[in-house]
Amino acid sequence: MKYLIIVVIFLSIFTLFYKGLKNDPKVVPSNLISKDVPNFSLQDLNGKLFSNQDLSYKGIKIVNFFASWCLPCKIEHKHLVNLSENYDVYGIVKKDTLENIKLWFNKKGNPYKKIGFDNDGLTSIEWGVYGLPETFIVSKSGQIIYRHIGPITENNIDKIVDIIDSSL
Amino acid sequence: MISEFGLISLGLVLVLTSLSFAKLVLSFSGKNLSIVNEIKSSWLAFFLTLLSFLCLTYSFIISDFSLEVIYKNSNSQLPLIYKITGVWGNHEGSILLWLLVMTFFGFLFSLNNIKNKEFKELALTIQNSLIFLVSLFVVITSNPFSRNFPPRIEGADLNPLLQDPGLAIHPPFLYLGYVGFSIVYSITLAVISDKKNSDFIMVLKPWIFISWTFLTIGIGLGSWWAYYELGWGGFWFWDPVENASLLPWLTASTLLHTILLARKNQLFYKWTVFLSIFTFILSLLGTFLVRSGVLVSVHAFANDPSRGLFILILLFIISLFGVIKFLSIIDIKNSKQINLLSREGVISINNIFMLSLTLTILIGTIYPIFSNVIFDKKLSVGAPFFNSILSPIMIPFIVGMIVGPFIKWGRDDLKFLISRLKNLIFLLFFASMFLWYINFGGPILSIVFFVLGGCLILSSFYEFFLLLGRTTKKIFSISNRVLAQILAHMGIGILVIGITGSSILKEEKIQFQKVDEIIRIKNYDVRFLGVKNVEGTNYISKMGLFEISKNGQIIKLMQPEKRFYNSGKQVTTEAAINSSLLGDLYIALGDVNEKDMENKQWTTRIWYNPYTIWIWISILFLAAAGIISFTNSIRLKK
Repeated sequence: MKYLIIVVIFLSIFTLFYKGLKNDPKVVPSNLISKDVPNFSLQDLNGKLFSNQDLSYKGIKIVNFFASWCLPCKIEHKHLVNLSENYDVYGIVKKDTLENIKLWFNKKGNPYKKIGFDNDGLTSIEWGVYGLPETFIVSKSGQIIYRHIGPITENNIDKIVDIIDSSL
Repeated sequence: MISEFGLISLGLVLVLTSLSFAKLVLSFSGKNLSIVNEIKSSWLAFFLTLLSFLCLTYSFIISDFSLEVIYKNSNSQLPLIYKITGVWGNHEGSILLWLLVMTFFGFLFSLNNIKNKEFKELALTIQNSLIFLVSLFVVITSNPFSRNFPPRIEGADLNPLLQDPGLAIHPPFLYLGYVGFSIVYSITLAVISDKKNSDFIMVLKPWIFISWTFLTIGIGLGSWWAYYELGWGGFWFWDPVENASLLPWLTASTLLHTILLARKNQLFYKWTVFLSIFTFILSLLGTFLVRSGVLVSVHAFANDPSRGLFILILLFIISLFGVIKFLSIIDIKNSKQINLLSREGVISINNIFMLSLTLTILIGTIYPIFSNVIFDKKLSVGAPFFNSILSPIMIPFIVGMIVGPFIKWGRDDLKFLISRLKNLIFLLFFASMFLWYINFGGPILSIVFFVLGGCLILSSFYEFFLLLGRTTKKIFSISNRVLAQILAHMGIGILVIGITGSSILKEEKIQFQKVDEIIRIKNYDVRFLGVKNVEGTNYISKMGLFEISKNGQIIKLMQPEKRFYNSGKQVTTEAAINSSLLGDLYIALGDVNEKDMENKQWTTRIWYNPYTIWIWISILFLAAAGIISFTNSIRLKK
């Protein structure tokens, strides 16, 4: 009898670990998945308004949070430039200046259809962004369907493209 | 060609030890496969694994990039030393090292002169079966000799963080510790099955001491490396991988105390058996957590779920076997009673505390997995949990360490104890007052732990001089066992002070520092002189120059670096540390402020970490204690 109990206990612990193996601990869920884009209104490069209204049209949108002071953002920049050839990429700049961004775009190109300056960091908080860069995919109907934390690299760009393509 | 040779040797180890495994399995149904000579098997397994390991090392040295693991983890530009240490700087090679250590311990045990031949044979059968399981793992999921096609001309590079002397020797030591407990496990299980062996403690002892010593040094080296290489200003981060190494260390430390009792009066037989099995299970659990990628950790090895599953199955088989064997002796009754106020009593309480520490850390470490699977909730358990849970447990624990060694075996009397120790109590009281006074106004927790650590060191000295006074001859006549105990307890006292100083009292300044700007920290003035470019063998480096002065006098030039490794495009931080007994001045160089290129501002992080060096000193004390115990235990056996 006692052996049976031990085997049952062991099996249940085994199952737990086994299930744990299948979860990638680096994937952090977002509460915003399958919810509407949060309301925001920011100034763009030319001092005009950039708000959630700009994301309300029917089409897949990529929203990227970045800053010129963020080193990993520079690493992912070329991938965003590539993505922008096929998809609409929007940017939200966290705590940065117009000059820095312009300087950067002159050097490396501007993949963004429109960018907004989040100088007080409130919009980033609304989106649940806790580090830069982060990238969100917004569906045709305006819901957030995917959140990517950290830079887009050769290793993960395929997954992002897959997600976009499957929701087209 | 050489690598094929290595693979063949590995295959032979697998075939050879499969016989032992078959023998073990058959023995459950009462059959005896007596054709297998376990002693010769252990020798062969060791030499074949050694051969295989040397083949891999040779391939690393000649940079044979047609091997996948060398292509991924080495580079022709690497200095020779890192080509060699690159052998275990990756998953496949390090598991081969694990196997090598396992066979090495089996080999050493087979050389042991044990009268009871059946017992020795059985222990080796179990050890060889463990070797079989691990070599199966290597061959199926982690073959270090697998080729790539077409062959590559140049390798990626060894992770620059691993290109460091501290880290070069950290894994072998850790493995000698971890894997050393495999032989402890094998011996213990053999003891359960073999009723004749009365004095297994004597057989077991040296293996526990030596494994514990290696594990202590291994953890110490890892912590030291993290301190100066990661540039985070700390030595311990409660990372799952760090915890995984601490868990078997704690149960092994418990075991060190328990075997004293088991030896002294045949007490705690079951408890010793339990701890021996549990320690090895925890070592395996550590390996599982590190290698499977089931938890987020700074140890970002190449993780692979299929490997994780294999280790999980290994863990499952080995621990189930151990637990079922343990259950077979659980009905043995122990009629002896223990007095609470006796050395046995204090050691029992010590055991309870040690095990609570272990379970607390275990739960904190694996809880995120369970929370994810059961509640579908992601969370991580970090330093605040461990610090707040462990601090209160540590207080009675240290008090016990102070008083424990003075309590008599068998039965002691409180009044008699106090009258015997009145000098010590007097001494400790004034020492506490003094320590309190010089730390007055500091955080209360730091005062508490300084006082406790200080008292522990003092009482250990007291014990030493008490014994010295009692023996009319020289120091050498103090028994080695007691000497080891004094050193170890002193080490823990030193460790407590080191940890308290460098965690609670640490000062930190992070800023953009301009050239010639002076930052004041503690009583040091840190003046930034600028950054120069330096070229190393396989990296270029930005080296910051800092002039340190104290009371207006320049005392040192410190040069923290940021290294950019050519091949992997990776950056490492090399902190500059100025150590003294009172504390470390620690400088790490960050990035240049790109917004303000004219002023040449750099991010600098400057810490003052009080008493950090005491942590490393304490490791030396603990290691010395372990070595003394080890030599003592093999001398006694002869």
